[in-house]
This record gives sequence, structure tokens and C-alpha cells, in this order.
Amino acid sequence: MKNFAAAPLQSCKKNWVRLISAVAVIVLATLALLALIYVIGESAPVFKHAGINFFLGHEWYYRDSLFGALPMIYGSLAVSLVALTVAVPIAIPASIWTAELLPVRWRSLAKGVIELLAGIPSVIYGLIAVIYLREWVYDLFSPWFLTSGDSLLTAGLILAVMILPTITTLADDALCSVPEQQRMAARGLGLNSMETILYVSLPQAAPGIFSAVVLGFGRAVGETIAVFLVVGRMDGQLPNSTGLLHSLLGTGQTLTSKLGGAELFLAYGDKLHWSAMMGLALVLLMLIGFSLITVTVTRFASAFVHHRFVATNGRLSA
Amino acid sequence: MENIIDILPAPRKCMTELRKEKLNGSTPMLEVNELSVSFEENIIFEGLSFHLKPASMLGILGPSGRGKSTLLRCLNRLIDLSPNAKVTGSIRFRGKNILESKVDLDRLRSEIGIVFQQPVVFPTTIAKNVLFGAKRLQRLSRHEQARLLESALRDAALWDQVKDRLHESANRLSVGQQQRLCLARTLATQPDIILLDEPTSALDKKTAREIEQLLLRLKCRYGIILVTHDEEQARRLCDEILRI
Amino acid sequence: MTYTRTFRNLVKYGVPAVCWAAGLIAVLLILALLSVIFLKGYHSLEPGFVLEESREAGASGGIRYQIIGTLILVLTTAAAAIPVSLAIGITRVSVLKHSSLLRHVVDGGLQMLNSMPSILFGVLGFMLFTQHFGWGKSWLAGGIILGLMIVPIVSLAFVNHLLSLPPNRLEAAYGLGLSPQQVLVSVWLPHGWPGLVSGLFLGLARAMGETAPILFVAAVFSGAGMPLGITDSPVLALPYHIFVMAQDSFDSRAQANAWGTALVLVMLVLAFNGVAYTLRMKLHYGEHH
Repeated sequence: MKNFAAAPLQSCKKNWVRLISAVAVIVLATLALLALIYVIGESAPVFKHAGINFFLGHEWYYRDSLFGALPMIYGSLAVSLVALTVAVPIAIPASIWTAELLPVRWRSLAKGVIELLAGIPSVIYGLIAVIYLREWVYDLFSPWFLTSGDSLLTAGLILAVMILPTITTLADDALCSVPEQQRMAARGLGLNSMETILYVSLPQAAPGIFSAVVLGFGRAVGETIAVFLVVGRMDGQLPNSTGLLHSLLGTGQTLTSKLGGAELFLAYGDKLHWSAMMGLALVLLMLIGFSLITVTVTRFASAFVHHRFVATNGRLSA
Repeated sequence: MENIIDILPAPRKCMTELRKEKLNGSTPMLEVNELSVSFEENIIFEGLSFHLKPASMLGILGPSGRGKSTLLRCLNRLIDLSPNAKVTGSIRFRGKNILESKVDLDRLRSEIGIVFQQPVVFPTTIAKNVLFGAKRLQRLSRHEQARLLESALRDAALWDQVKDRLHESANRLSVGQQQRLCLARTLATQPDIILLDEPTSALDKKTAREIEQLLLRLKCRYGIILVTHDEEQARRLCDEILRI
Repeated sequence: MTYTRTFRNLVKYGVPAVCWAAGLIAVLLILALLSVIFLKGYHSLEPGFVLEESREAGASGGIRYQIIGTLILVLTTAAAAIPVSLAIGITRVSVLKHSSLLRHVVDGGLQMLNSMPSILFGVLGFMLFTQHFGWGKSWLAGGIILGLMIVPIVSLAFVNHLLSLPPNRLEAAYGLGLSPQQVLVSVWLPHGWPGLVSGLFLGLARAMGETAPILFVAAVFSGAGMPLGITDSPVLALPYHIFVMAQDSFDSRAQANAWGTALVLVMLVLAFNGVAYTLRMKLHYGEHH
């Protein structure tokens, strides 16, 4: 009779299911790493060619080997920040609504309905933006010399709708993870339910809500299709003397809309041009990486504070 | 705005005056009649009646699982926050039945304060913890806040230990200190009655004794209801004991 | 005193007013979007639309091969995602049980993969399959790319389900002296499949709506029927169809066709999400009763 406790370990040695799984995971991880190295390696020529001007230059003419990515970086940041500006003031109160105000049995229904918004394919958001949003933006802002409804603002607005469920559900999770006894203690002092939300739940959920916003930003930066359809895809657009708002009302280009355009087919034959496209991919990766790092740091920092809180709370002495 | 110090005479004077009042047969602060609580089909307890006299301590004694904590939560209607709880009977406080629907619950809860079994401190500084309720229930000047902070911490016998680190995190206090901090936080809202839910069960013996001493000093100024499962403790502290 | 009371009342009634307004905006937004898609699309929804081929650059006719193409992609995606997710799930739950560092690495890697912009999958797929392997546009490449993209969704659902099971259930089977093949067939699959399948449907719902990954790799707008090989065998696909029609939105007939396609796509996505949701609810129910 085998020792029962040792059995898992023994079978581990000759278990080819586990072995193949582990090998497969290692192969996959290597492939992912190779993809990253490929993107970095392929983009090297353009950095050698253009240097810092790849980030700072505002002209992109591949026939003249001019590769300045600043307008694309600006475009990506601009549409994402517009999206956040519109979505966050709705998403955070909406998450309070689902987490704190709704009765428990309505909560999952409301959350489910909001999550439906996240399930709709981005090309359909794009279609809606093309048919409706573009017209509305044009009608609303045509007094300001708008030439068409395609603009950074239009792209930002449709992105706002797309990241609304992401931020709402993540912020809802953060609020729900605040311990119930904290709310109970505040109510016991005579604070009303809204003061409890404002002074207890929100401050304690703040790191989680912040992470939700940052992840929403990451999603907005990476979104391609809906932005592609309404951003205008005009190279070399940067805010000038006419001001920031004016530039938002104009057409633009984002990192993703450039990568999703037909220029990619064209670029493959030309080493430098392809390298420039890979450079854009690398910048996009860096923006996403930045948001992921921010989220991780926030999580570790708040876990550290929380850990100290729990540790002292459990010690039994005067 | 009255300050806690202004409305409260010095302890010794308080003792004699209030004792006298009590001997003259003053009316109870809180009268509970035929109180029953059930959660859906589960009856927690039925037909409880008792009253609390001013400046006295009522002990509620009984083994765990008899709904002692539930009873305390009825008295300031924190029980309303648990779904499905059904409360019948009457609780008279300041001449009104507080189980009626039109009572201002937030005000009631500031008048009948509660300290839980496990200390629940807010993850902020000591000073902000103490004033957490008080400064939101009323408008206090910076000066008044400082005075209230000191008096509440003194009343909870914590002032000497924390006066140099009022703006440090409350999480770093020991459990006993945290429990006193919670008491100070409740005192700062100037309640009439304090409900204590086994406040010493999470503490070691020495710390528990310190808290007991503190409660003896407080009982001349507040009506206190103490839930405990420790017979000895109830005898040491309480004027009357209710067994459930 | 009146100041305090006024301020407290402001908080007491103002905060919920704002939150209700925001929550209702979010809910109304989704209802408005769904009703726009339905109202604009249901005119086109007749048997002919689903069964006929498209004609006149999508302005008339149906979307038969777009639907077939999307289904081909979905099946390929599932075929690519299942073994990879199984491998990751089994590794994550059994092999890495004793190393929290490696576990964090795997979890973090999945998290990163999950937040990768879909266009990057498309660009890398274009580089690898279309150009380097010389496949041109190919349904298989599209399926593999989409499969890799949904691996985090599927494997996380699988892992979370396995971890929610009582641990002794898996270990006990090893104690019985089963052979490794038997362990896979009698332990991992029977206990893990509900999590795997619910994650799979969730992932497929996402994959079938994606345009960016198949843009360069698998999809064309016209001129493709059933693919007969791997090299230069593109497919038509619902999202790509909408994508092209949306850029050509001034022809009202093309617009109507695009809305019809959008409705079909949304119904498919919702159906897949519905299956995943039902399965998850059933699981949840099963665990507690």
C-alpha cells in the first residue's frame, strides 16, 4: 500500500501530462519573449536612423525616410485622455451606484447589463460612431471651422463609451472589497450612509479605483478599429498656436490607427520603413507597459499598507 | 457649540450629584419592552424587557450565540443594516419609541454610541480617527477640535500614550490601544448611552483590567450597557445584570 | 449648526442623486446602443440575408460567406486555444503549486497578454504567418492569432474553476494509482471542463468580434468562399465586412447591409456570452448546493 500523502509527488515524476504542459508553457513563454525581442530588434534601425527625433519629430514621410512619431503619440494620448475625462465622472458614481446603493439582488443584474457594453465588438462602436457620433460632433462644433466630423474628439468620445464598463466594473470590485465592518463602525458613530461612502468606502477603495482608471487608459490607448474609423488618419497633426481645443476638433492619427492602416503592407518590403512601424508598436507597448506597471505598483503599495494594518491588528497586547 | 469639557463636571462632583439623582428614583434613560428579533424563520430572542438608569452600568450576560450582539445592534438600530431582520416590541429613549419609522437614525446612533468586540480603526491617523464622527456631525473650529480630541483621549485613558504621535497611523497601535481609540471616537460624538460589545474579549488580562478601570470611571457620566460572557467581569462592573 | 445640517443634507441627497444619474446613464447607454443596432438591423434580417452571397460590393445580397468565414475562424480559434489553455491551466495548478514566484510570473504573463492591444497580434501575425511563412492571408493564421489572444481569458477561467474545487478531489485520484493518461481523462477534464468551456465561450465571443488581428492576416472583403487550403486561403468575416462597409458609409444600401451584419454579429456575440454566463451561474449554483 502506497503512502497516500506521497502519491501526488510520486505520480508527478512520471506524469507526462504535467511534463508536456510545463514544456508547452515554457515554449509559449519563450515565444512571447521572442516576439518582444523581435519588436525591439526590428525597430533598432529607425532609432539609429532618426535617433531621438523618432519621438520628437513631427514629420512622417516614408518616401523621404522621415519618421517622426510625435503626432501619433500625441494622438493616442489625446484620444485616451478625452475618453478618461468623459468616462471617469460617469464610471465612478456608477460604480458607487452598483456597489453601495443598489440592493444586493439588483446589483449583479445592473453590473451584468453594464458588462454587456464591454461585450459589443469594437467595430460596431466604430459603425455607430461613423453614422451618428460623427454627425453630432460636426453639427455641434461646425461654427469652429470644423471640416468634417472626423476628429480626435470624436474618437475620444466613442472610446469613452467603450472604457466606461471597464472602469465601472473594476471600481465596483474595489468598493466591494472594503470590509463591511468599516462601514458599520462609521454608521455606529452616526454618519449617514452617504457620508460613510464618501469618507470610508471611497478613500479605502481609492487605490483600486485608481487602478481601474489606469487600466481604462490602457484599453483606450490600445483600441484600434473604432478609433481608425473616426479619427481622420491625418499625419503630422499637432496642436499649434490655435490651441489645444482646436487641435482636438481637428483630424489626427494615433499609434494604433497608423499600425492598422494599409501602410503596413507597404512597409514590409522596406527595412527602414518596417522598422519605423515596429518603433510605433514598441511605443504602444511601452504605454501599455507603463499602465501595467502603475497598476502593479499601486497594488503592492496598498497591499503593503494593508499588511501592516492586519499584522498590528492581530497582535494581542497592550 | 458645547464642548465635552464644559458640559461635564469634574468626576467627583459628578459622582455625588448623579448618585443622589439616582437614589431619588430618576426615570430610566432607556426602557425596553417585549423586544423580539428574528431573521426570516430564525428567532434570535423573544420578549426581552429591561431598563437602564442614568449613570449606571447594565450587564448583559449569557453564553455566545444567544443574540447579545444582535440585542445591542437593536438599541441603536444598526440592525437595520442587516437585511431580513425583523424587530418587534418597543424601546423608549427620551420619551419616544425608537423602533418607530420616523426616527432620525443617524442622530440616534450618535446619541447611543457603540464599541464593537474587535476594534475597527479607520486606516488613517489617530487624531482623524477620534474626530471621525464628531467633526462631521457638527461644525467645530480648529481650537474646538483640538480640545475635543484631548478630552476624548483623556477620557479613554489614551492621551498620555499617544499625545506625541497624534498624526501617526492608528494601525500601529496595539489592540488594547485600538479598542480605547474606538471608545474615544465614540465619546467624542458626545453620546448619552454607550453600548459595549465584549470590549475586552480580544485583549489579554492586564489590558482587560485597564479597560475595566476606565469603564468604572466613565459610568458616572454615561449610561453603559455592557455585553459580556464573563460572570466575574459583570459582577465587578455592573449595577444590574440581565441574563439571556 | 444650520451650516452643518445643510452640508450633511447636501451629502445625504446629493451623492445618491449623482450616483443614480450616472448608473442610469450607463444602463440607458447600453439599452440605447442595443436598440439602435436592433432597429437599424432588423429590416435586413430575413432568410435571404443570411443565406445569400453578397453582391455589388456588399450593397445587395446577403452575408452567407461572412457568417461561414466567422464560424471557420471561431472553430479554428477554439482548436488553437483549448490545448494551450489546458497546458497553462494544468501547469499553473499542479506544477507551480510549490513555487509562488513562478506562479506570479505565469499570472503576470497572462495578465500582460490580456492587456495587449489586439492590433499588435495582427501585426505580429502578419510578420510571422503572412510574410515569413509565406501563407499570404489564411484562415488558419487568423484562427491561431485569435486563439492566442483569448488564451488568458480561457486559462484564467479554467484555473479559477480548478482552484475553487476542493483540493483533495484532484489529489485523491493520484492516490488511486491511475496512469497519467487516465488522470487527464478522469480528473482534469471531468472536473475542469465547465470552467474551461465557460471561459472558452467568453473568449470566442470576444474573438469573433475582433477586427484588428485578422485585418492583415486572414480577412478579405470579397472574392473568397470556402477555403480549400492553407496558403492564400482567406475568408470573409462579419467584423471585417462591417469595418469595410463603415468606411463606405455614404451609400444607403451599403449602410443598411452594414447594420444587418452588425445585428447578426451582436446576436452571435450575445449568444456566446449567454452560454458562458449560464454555465458559470450553473457552476456557482452547483458549488453551494
